[in-house]
Parts: sequence; C-alpha cells; structure tokens
Amino acid sequence: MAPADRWRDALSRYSMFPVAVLVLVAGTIVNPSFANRINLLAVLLDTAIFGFLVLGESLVILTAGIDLSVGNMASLSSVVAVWSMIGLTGLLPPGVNMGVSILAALAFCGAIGFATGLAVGFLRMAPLIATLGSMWVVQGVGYWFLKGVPAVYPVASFRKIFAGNLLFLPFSAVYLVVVAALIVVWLTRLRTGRWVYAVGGSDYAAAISGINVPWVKTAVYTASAVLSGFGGILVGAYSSVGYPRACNGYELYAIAAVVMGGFAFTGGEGNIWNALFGILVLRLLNKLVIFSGLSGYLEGMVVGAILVITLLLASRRIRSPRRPGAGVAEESARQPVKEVQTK
Amino acid sequence: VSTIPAGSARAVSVREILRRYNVLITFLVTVAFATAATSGLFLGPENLLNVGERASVVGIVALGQMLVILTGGIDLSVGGLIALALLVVSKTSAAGVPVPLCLLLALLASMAAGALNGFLISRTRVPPFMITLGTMLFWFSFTLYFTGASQLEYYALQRFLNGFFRLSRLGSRLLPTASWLVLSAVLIFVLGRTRFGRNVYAVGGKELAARLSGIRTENVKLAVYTLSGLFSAVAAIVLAYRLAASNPDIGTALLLESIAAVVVGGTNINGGEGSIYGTFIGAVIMAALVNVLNLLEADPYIQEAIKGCMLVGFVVIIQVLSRRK
Repeated sequence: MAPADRWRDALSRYSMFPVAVLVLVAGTIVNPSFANRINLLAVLLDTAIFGFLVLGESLVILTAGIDLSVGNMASLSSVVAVWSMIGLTGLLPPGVNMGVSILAALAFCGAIGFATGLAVGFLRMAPLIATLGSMWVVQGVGYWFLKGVPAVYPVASFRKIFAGNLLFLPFSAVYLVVVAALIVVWLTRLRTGRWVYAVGGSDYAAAISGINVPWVKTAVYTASAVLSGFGGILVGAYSSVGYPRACNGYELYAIAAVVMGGFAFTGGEGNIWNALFGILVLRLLNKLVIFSGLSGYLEGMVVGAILVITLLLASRRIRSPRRPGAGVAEESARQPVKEVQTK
Repeated sequence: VSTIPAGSARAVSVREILRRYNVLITFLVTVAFATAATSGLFLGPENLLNVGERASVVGIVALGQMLVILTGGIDLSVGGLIALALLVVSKTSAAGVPVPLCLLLALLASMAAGALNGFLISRTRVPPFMITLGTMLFWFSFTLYFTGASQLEYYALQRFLNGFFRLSRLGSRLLPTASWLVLSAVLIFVLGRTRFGRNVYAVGGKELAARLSGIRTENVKLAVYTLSGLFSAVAAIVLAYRLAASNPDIGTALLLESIAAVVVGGTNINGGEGSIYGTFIGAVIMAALVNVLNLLEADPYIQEAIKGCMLVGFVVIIQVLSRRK
C-alpha cells in the first residue's frame, strides 16, 4: 500500500479524531478559556461516562440492531446500586457492600438486556420495538425502586474509587480506555468477536457457516446493558446520587456518536475507537454551545442536526436498503443458496 | 387484520380463529378484565368518558403512526412534532393572532416538519427511525429554546372552540372523541377506497414491486410522514383543548403509546398489513389499561414498566398467533 493510501485509510478509519481537534481549535478561537484545564477535564469526564454507552450501542449496531434503552439502563444501574447500598449498610462492611451493590446493579441491568436479547435473537422481534419496550420498563422500574426520589450513596469510598483522578486523568477515562481496548481485541482477534461482525454482515450467511446467530444477538444486548450499567455507576459516583432520570436521553448521543464514527446501520462495519472520538466531538460541541454564550437548550438542535446530516452523508456508503429486523436482503439471499444446495 | 384465504371455511381450527380475530379477542379480554378488576367501575358512564378522552389523543397520533408503519417505516418524532404544534398555538394566540389562524399555523408547522422527515427518508436510504430520532431531538430542543422552563397556555383556544361549537359541559368532553371518530372514518375511506390508500399498502408490502408497477414510492412516503405531522398537530390541539396549559414535553409518552396502539391493533410492524379498525381498538385498549391501573391506584411509576411490557408482550403474542403453519 502506498503511503498516501495508508494515510487516507487511517483518516477514514479515525475520521472523528481530526474533527475533534478542529472543534477544539474552533472553541479556543471563539472563547480562549475553552482550552483551560478545568473545561477539558470536564469534557474528558463526560466522554468517559457517555463512552460506556457508546461501547454498548456500537456492539448492538454492529449486528445491525439498535438499542434505545442504553440511557435509561444507565439511570437504572445508578438507582439499583444506591438502593442496594442503602439496604446493605450496617449488614456488610462498606467495601464489601459497595462491591456487592455494584455487581447487583450490573447483574440486574444484564438480566434485562438478556431478556431483550432473547426477544430479538430468538423471537425475531424488531430491535427497535424490543428496546423501546425495555426502555420504558427500565424507567418504570427505576422510579419504583426509589419512589422517584434521588438518594445519596452511603459509602464514602465509592466516590474515591470511581470519581477520583490519576495524576491529571480521571479514573473513568482510564476505565473507558481499558474496557474499549479489551472489546477491540475481542472483536478483532478472537473468534467469538468476529462472530459479531459476521452476524451484522449477513445473519443468513453467518447462520449457514455455523454461527449460532440468536445467541450472538442475545450476547450483544446483554453486553450493551452491562456496559451502560457501568456508565450509570460512574454517573452515580460523580453526582453522589442515584436518580431514576440521571441518564435519560443519553441514548441519542450514543447513537449519534456511533453513526458519526462511521458504523453502517446495516451492520458488520465500524471502528470502536472512531465511535469514541465521535462522542468526544459531541461533548466538545456541548461545551462549545455554552462557551459561545448560546442557550443550553440549543444543544439538542445542534446534535439533532449533526445526526441527520451525518446520516445523509453516510447513506452514500450503504450497500442495500434494509429495514431493522425485516428480512428483505435475507430473503433474496436465501433463494440462490437453496438452489446450490439442491444441486 | 389480514385477508382470509378462499376455501379455508372448512376445517377452521381454534388456532385459525385466534389468528383471524386476535385484535377483537384481545379487546374483549381487556374489557372483561377491566370490568372484573374494578368490580364494574370501568363501565360507568363517567369513566367511559374518561377513557374516550384519553384514547382520542393516543388514537389520533396512532392514525398517523399507522400510515407510516404501513409503509414499513416508523415515526419516532411524533413527540417533537406535538411539542412544535403546542408551541405555535400557544405563542401565536398569546401574540393576539385570531385562534383559527393559530390552529392553521400549528397544523402547517407540524406538517412541514413531517414533510421534512418524509423528504429525507424518501430521498435517501437512511432508516426512518434514525432520521426521526434526529428530528425528534431537534424539535424538542427548538421548542425548549423558545419556552425555557415555563409552561405553555392555551386558554384562548379552549374558549374559542367551546364558543364555536356552542358546547355544553358534556359536549366539551365529547369533542376529542368525536374528532377522533371523524378522522378515523376519513382514513377508513382513504385507505380502503382511494388509489393513495392502495399505494400505501403496496409500498409496505414490497417496495421494489410497488416501484416496478409504477407507483411513485418516494411520493407515497413523503405523504405518509406529512400526514403523521398533521395528525400529531391535531392531537396536540386536542391535548391543548383538554388541558388549557401544559409542559411542552407532554407528548413524550405518546410515542410509545401510539406505537403500542398500532401494534396491539394488529398492524404488522414491518408494513403492508393492518386496519384502521384495529388501530382504533388498539388505542382503546391502551387507554383502558392506563385507566384501570389508575382506578386500581397502581403506582404511577410501575405503570410505565407495565406499558413497556405490554408493547413487547403484544408483539410476541400477535406474532405467535399470526404465524401460519
């Protein structure tokens, strides 16, 4: 490969990185205090928290699905953790209490994600409908746990472990990079990880080559719920309260970041790191709206417009139209293969 | 529901009956359950008025949502379009614009936003849920920018409609239901008797086949999303009429409820199959469910969870019931 091609290839795979730099420069020009340490730290922190939701969402979108429940799932996790921590205070030593509560929260989220995954994988329900349903279930359950009232985490070390700083880096950013690296290695180096790409590329082709498609789908929805749950734990640690609406609406940012990161919503294509740069861009823009003296309410308009414009640009790359869950491409793929088999 | 194959009259199994009349059966079961669970309170005249008022808003949004779903798409932006219409009604009437003009402006604003959805969806291959997710965020944020944290008020609208139709107290409670019935009747005619109606089903059934047989599929799609905008605006006006004042995000819950009403009413979520009767019954079922939960003094928080379960549960049940051997 010629060096120029290699550069172009790298640029398309990490396209959101230069965009992030651009936004940073633009922000500094608009308002010089944009580049101060506190603001950049806040951006990094935001990116780390949203990043876990992006990781979950990107796994699901790789299989040509969609998960609308990531935001509410993160809220639920912060709620379950605080509920369990309060309930276990006095029964267990604080450290053990914290560990058990976090595991309980992640397990609870994972169980709901597992159920959603079963519905999508085995009952062949449209991912949009299944996760729209689970989004509401999760929100209702979150409110019910705390009766709608935010509650303070009783364990002091909780904040230290999840909201501390390592030199100048927030712990959460370190967690994100480590988890993202593990996921990337899994997706690209291990057989089970390649299955995720295979299912997204064509679930029919994946099925006839011996991959258990329903279980792969179940696994990604479970993983998405657990990763979002961890994002919720971080939000809880930073805000010190578990609140049933803490992360509601975050799913839009996660989906936008994944789409900006160049993932095909028809599945099978995408680079996790670029999606994370995508959320970095969105969080920088969030701060940019505020630093340029505009109303914070405008941010949604900016993100919505960016999402739609990115989609329109990306749609040139799409190979075949396909509705989520429906099997148009699948049906047409099925015919010729059957003929081959009968020969 | 779906067409009955000829010659299947003999040997009609229980399964076949369940498949054919699944929506009606669900409806009867819901009413029976509602009556039994509330020991008859559900069927009281006062309560039925309540259910009608509630069902009418969901039902009107569901009409537009159903048209979109029939073409194989989905409109996640209905909540945003409702917010936009509420904003226009409230701000223009506060500025002294005559109420009929306010209503017209609200309808036009929401239709234009719907047409934008339709344009973007029909001219590209981006999945409809992605586009409408983006525009939902856009219109919510747009509305919030103009309202801030303050409430929207619609007293002028309420006074005007009551005066215009010379409504008594009872009449004013029946107006939402009446407008819902009229719109449903119009759509039954449009879907069943006009070329546009047939085209909507054709696009959802198999888009390529529809295009090859000469249907301008992109125009059909543009039309259904525009109509979804129109119905969202009508629902917003009905809501404004009932409430007199509200938060701009009052329509958020209507997204889930409208999709649930369409799906519970037996419309195929992948398009091409479904009836207005079904959607009508679906909206009644959703409203009845919420009403019963309220009558039973169920925790309002857990109601959201129950609605989410309902949506998923009904899709599974209807999928299983309509699976042919």
